[in-house]
Amino acid sequence: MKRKTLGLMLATAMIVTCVTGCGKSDEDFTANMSDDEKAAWEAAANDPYGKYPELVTYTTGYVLTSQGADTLSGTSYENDTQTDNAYTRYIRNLINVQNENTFEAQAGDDYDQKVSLAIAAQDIPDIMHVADYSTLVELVENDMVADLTDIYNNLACDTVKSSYESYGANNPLNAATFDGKIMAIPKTQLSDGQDFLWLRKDWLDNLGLEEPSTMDEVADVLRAFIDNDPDGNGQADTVGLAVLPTVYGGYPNNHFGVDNIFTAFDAYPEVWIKDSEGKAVYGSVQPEMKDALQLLADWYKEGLIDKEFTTRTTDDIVALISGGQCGAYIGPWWSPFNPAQTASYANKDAEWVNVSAPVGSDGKINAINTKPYAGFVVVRKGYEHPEIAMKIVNINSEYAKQDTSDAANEIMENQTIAYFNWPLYCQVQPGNNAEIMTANVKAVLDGSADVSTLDTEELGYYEAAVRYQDAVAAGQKADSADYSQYMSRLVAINKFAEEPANFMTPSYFETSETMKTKWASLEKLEQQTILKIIVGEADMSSFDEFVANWTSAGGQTITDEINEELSAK
Amino acid sequence: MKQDNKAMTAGGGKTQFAGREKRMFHLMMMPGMIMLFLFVFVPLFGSLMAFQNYVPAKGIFGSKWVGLENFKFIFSLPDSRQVFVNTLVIAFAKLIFNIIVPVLFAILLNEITVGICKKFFQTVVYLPHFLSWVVLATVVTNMFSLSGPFNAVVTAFGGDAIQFLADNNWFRKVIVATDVWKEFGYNSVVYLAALTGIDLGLYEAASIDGANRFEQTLHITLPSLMPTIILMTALNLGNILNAGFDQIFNLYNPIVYETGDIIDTYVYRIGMVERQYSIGTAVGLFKSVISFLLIMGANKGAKKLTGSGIF
Repeated sequence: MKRKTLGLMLATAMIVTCVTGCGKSDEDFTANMSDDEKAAWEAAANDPYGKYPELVTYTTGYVLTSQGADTLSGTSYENDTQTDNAYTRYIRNLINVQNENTFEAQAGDDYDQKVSLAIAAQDIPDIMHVADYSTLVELVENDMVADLTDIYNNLACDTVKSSYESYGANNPLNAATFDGKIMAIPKTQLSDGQDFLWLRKDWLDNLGLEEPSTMDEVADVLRAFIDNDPDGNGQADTVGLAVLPTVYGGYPNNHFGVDNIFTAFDAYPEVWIKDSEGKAVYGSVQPEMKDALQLLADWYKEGLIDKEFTTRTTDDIVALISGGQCGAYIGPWWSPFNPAQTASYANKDAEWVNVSAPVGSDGKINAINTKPYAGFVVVRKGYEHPEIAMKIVNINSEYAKQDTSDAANEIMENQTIAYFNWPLYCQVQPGNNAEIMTANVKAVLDGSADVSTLDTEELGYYEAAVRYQDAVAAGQKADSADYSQYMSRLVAINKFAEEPANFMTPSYFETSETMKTKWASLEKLEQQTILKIIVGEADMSSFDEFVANWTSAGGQTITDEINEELSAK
Repeated sequence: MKQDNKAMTAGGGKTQFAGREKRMFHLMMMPGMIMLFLFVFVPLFGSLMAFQNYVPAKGIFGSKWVGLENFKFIFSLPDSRQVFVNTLVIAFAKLIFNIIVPVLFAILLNEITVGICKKFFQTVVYLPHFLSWVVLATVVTNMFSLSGPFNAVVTAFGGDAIQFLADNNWFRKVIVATDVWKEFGYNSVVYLAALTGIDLGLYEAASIDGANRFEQTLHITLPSLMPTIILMTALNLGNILNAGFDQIFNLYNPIVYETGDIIDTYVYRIGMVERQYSIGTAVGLFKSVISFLLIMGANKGAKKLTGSGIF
């Protein structure tokens, strides 16, 4: 309570100082300069890595991560601070720019609160990171942030530009563009690729089965996994496909969700898709859902999916799989890190394989693109050096990576000790970064490239892969950490390139105003209906009923709201 | 805390302390009073959020006042009727069975004359009370699963296996039964204590008059327990809108929302989508007001019935 009062007083004080003091700083800083000086400043401002003639200090909010400064104690970086560390020193040496932190806070709620406070007080730092899209919209609507279109076009380095473009239709810049103007620099969120059907390879081999591809082939494998005693223990103790009690959602970060079964029927549950007229519509209420639901209902009846999936928690499913009772589930490329796989590898001698199945009508998996951005860098409207934001993102995304100087090495070394972040907390990477790293590691393993071409992160994967391969060659069981690293980084990711998927780009990733209050009841309606249809408690006609109820209980309002929001951009 | 206060004034009235001694007692009370003030009275002001569109960055004083909008919103939700009914049904059933079963158990346990046996049973039935629902939910899920012991019994008698936790006909029964199973040992402590307070002379007199064990229980034990039972009921009435969040949250699934979704789980899901402080507070305040009225009513009723209330 007291803290709140204090906060309020501070906020009031800020508003007062702002009212009296704002505007002063926006005077033309070149007013008293000679022509030479002006030219030097201009040249620096128009070069992606140009160094300013004098030290420029900008105010910012510093995002701290969990691996913070405390882990630096005992190293030569012990006395580093958020204004004086490997990163800030590097930036200062390179372009003569220094940060001054208006606030410092842990990434997440702590930091977001500070940003909200700054916005409420109408006093935001010169350059800052904002974590969510709705905050960006608020800043743009209140005309508090600068238009960065020219700066982006003139100053963004090739890596940044090509990285954004690698997202194709899902370009993160779209989210930062309002009325055709780029109002922020988006931090990229790497694509997680498509989900795979993970199957017990040893079971397939025991039963003499091929890796499935179509829906029918998947059904045959599941049938064999239940009926033909794949583990050879003489007991009918295996269940079919593991399914999350929520069935789908959160693609592809959701182990055991069966989104791929829906997408194979061109149904995209729980995402906002575009209809034939280009309008945003909710995937879960489209007629394509019926085919997928019918199939799942049939599978449930036959036992091809776990009969008790509605009452299982994620932990229960993991126990089922690691206990060797279930050999089929849908999961992302990093699934070998899931305890379901590591434990079954370590204790049950399970071998797993990721299969591109079930495929859609054109023989490929239909996948869903994820949100391509993970935050934004914005510049206060009226700030005299807005280009600094772009330059720091350039350095972070390109220059420092190619730089081999001692200063750049210092950053690398620092990074391995603690993740003391770059100011602005924004790195732009190509969406398929994971794939690129895998290709690099694979090239070294094949002997077509030298180990020295790998960066620190890649080297870690390479070493794990070598340890795994050595153990296998020696006829031993590899360490399960090495197994996870090898299977995910080298086997699973490799299929992104070898067996590419179709990617559908949702039209909307955010939470609209009415969603905040009505979504819980709409979601309840949806989950109830979907589950009842699958377990056979309700027939398919209840789906139409659900669509009607969903529409009238707020679904239509939300759809209209989203379309309005999208057309306003 | 309230009882402490009472004891204090009562004690003060009987004995004439010198002023300095009194001050010492007051001083000793200070930490408790400060705690009470900080953690009970101060947060009460937070209830104001229920009448605002609360934005954390703006605080209580900066957020917009919306009157009863939040309450209207709660009752306008399509599921509010359903979750309200579910909450009442489950909580009421728990209230009833959490009295009947512990009382019966206490009476039965009291009949055991071998000391070690009595202690053994008492300890065993206590145990589940000390486990959290997060742990017990796994046990319960397994017990009621298709391959669990309950279904083994069902199929042994020729029935079809039932998914107890995914069946709207069974869910509430399982919830109430498991809750009673978890708590009856602990709840019976009060009744066991009350039983030791019954004058043995009454039983002697009754047996001389020819009353058998059952009649003694009916006409002596139960009436003697009545004040305790009424007291416990009145106290528990305050919880009528708490149907047990942690239990249901760990056991339910969308199929049984129809019979198992309660106010707390529903509000939890609303809160998960976006941090809805005001709505959460409005629900909390609403529940507190109802509980307050029920406790006051029950107290008055108890006073009328037995001549003594809680306060």
